[in-house]
Amino acid sequence: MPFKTLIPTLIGQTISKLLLFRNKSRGETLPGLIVLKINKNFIKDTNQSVPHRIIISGTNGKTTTTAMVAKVLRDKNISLITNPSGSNLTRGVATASLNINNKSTHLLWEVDEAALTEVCRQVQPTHLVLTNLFRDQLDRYGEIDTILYNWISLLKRLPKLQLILNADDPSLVFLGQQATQHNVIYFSVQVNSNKKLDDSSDSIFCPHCHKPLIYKSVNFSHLGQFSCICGFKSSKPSYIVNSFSYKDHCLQININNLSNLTLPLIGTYNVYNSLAAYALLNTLNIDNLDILISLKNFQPAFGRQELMHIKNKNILTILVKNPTGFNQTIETLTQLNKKLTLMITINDKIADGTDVSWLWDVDFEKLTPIINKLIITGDRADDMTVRMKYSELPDLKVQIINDKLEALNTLLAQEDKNLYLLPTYTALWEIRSLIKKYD
Amino acid sequence: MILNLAHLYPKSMNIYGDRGNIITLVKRCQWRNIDILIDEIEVDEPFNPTKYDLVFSGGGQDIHQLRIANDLQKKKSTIMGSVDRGAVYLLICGTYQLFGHHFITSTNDKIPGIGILDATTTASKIKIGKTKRMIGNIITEITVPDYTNSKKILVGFENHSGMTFINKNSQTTQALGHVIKGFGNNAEDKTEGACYKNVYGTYLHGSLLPKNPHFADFLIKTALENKYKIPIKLDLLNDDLENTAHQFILNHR
Repeated sequence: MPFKTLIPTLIGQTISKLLLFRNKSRGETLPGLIVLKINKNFIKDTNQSVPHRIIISGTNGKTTTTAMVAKVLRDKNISLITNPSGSNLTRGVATASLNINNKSTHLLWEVDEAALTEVCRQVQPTHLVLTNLFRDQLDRYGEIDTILYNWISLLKRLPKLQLILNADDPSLVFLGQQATQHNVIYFSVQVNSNKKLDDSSDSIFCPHCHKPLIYKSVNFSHLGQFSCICGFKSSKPSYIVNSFSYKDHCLQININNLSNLTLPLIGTYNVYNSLAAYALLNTLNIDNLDILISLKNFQPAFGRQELMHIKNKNILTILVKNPTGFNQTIETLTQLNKKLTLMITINDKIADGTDVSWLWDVDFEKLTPIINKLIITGDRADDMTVRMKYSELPDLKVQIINDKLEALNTLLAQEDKNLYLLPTYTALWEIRSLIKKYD
Repeated sequence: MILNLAHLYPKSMNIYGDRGNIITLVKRCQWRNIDILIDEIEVDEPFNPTKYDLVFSGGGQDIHQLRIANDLQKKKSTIMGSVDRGAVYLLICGTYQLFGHHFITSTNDKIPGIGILDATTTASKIKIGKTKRMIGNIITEITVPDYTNSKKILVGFENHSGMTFINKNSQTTQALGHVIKGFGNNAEDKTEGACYKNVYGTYLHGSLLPKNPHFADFLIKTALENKYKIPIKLDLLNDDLENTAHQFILNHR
């Protein structure tokens, strides 16, 4: 190991070990913060000797997609370094880079969309997967167009790499068509759908001429098959999902009319996540059968349809953080065809977004009919309750409990054996630490 | 009674939950057995403002603001006619700016507005706090004399880079309110929003009306009185939940 990385590595690893005894969540970022203070090019100096450097970014689905890829690569005994979910800023990547050794062949970084430029500059990825671009925490990220133009100028500065893009997202197709120095491949979900664009769809205007796009079909939000009178249209995909269906709480996905993937998750968004993972793994020359076998046994990532068992109850936890994700969650829950007992927990800390306006961009009108009982908690429980009132949820079905422990106890005291928990990011951490006390 | 509501540019200008304002107007009318009919009007679609008692339009991304700016010019004379007849307009952020004389963007482009509000907007070029944008929870007090309700406080969330200045000697336009906490029109003169006749422009997202039911009811009442030319007394609703959400912002100032 060269001297310029040796000293920070030793210091960082020591801090990591010390922190392990204390607070795990800080252990994932603080060492990185310190090594970057000692050597601001620490990521660059440690990463660039590793042959495969993969970055996954986008608004939604990056954690699950990263977890899928990691599972398949680990099952193949590939020497992989990855960052834990939620540590997806520069300091998180720096912390995880402390684990790189001379046997490492693959780096797999989940990267926050706002940190992508800095992380890419240092990592110089060989593979970059972009899942989608939706509105998310506008107080923190700014407008979607701002992120898109930042990414386009980033790609112009990066050496040739393999770019894997969602062909159903107009913004990413626009980006891909300008990334001429890179290898670009696309993935697409092309199933018959009678869905229409919903109210909170973001990129429904042509990125070239700004006229409304014409959609042949919509999967959700602005993802679908589109064209514009100016000639702009989706690029030809190499990986296509032709059909998918549900069986026993699992997805059955047909890729390229060839591979049948079974995945223990539900929701159209997970069709996209697994397709992105499949496309990347295929590009990395992982055998088709190995991918299918590994993903069949996939365990959901942190808070992404994660199932927990407490006091004879099953709690399915689905993180909600932006309108598109929440709308997809509601659609997925609707497909369960039953009345649900659930708890929604809305916080407004910095990691959640300090603006709760986005709750009005979510179609709670579609959730109301399937609610048996709803418990609302979180720092902004009041705003959430007003939102449900205006979606005409009867008073009898809703209970507001500001104290999160009391709310959790009330949820567990409900008759239903299967319970559903929909928290924002920091609320997920809080509720999980409360749940741990039951163990 | 029936109210006709036009939602201008729902696809282009729909950021930060602004459609919560439409949901609130609709529900608060329905709960009182007032019929409310909504037409959505997009760019290049005809707009016959004589039909409408209430007009709403929200905020949007810069690129969309440019599209609607051109379209507004085409609709300018008919909008002016309906404003003179007393139709109620609620305009948030991006459309509020374009109802002024012009908006000078961060790249020094001058986007013409339709000049109904005697105000101009310039994109901020200096940092106000951490960024050039004015972001955060905001509390204001309504100062418009026509607003006689005793509940004068508005709460919301602002997120804008445009700094709007009402013409100092304006004979027509006054501020909607005074800033108690937050930035308001321009982070300088403590004014927030603007008002001319029954046109109300504001930077408050949040969404504005769900957390300020008194203001929602004021708009409904004004629209009904203007339409039916009789004094209106709206049925009281139980607003405990809305007022709790309103109070949260006041308690965390």
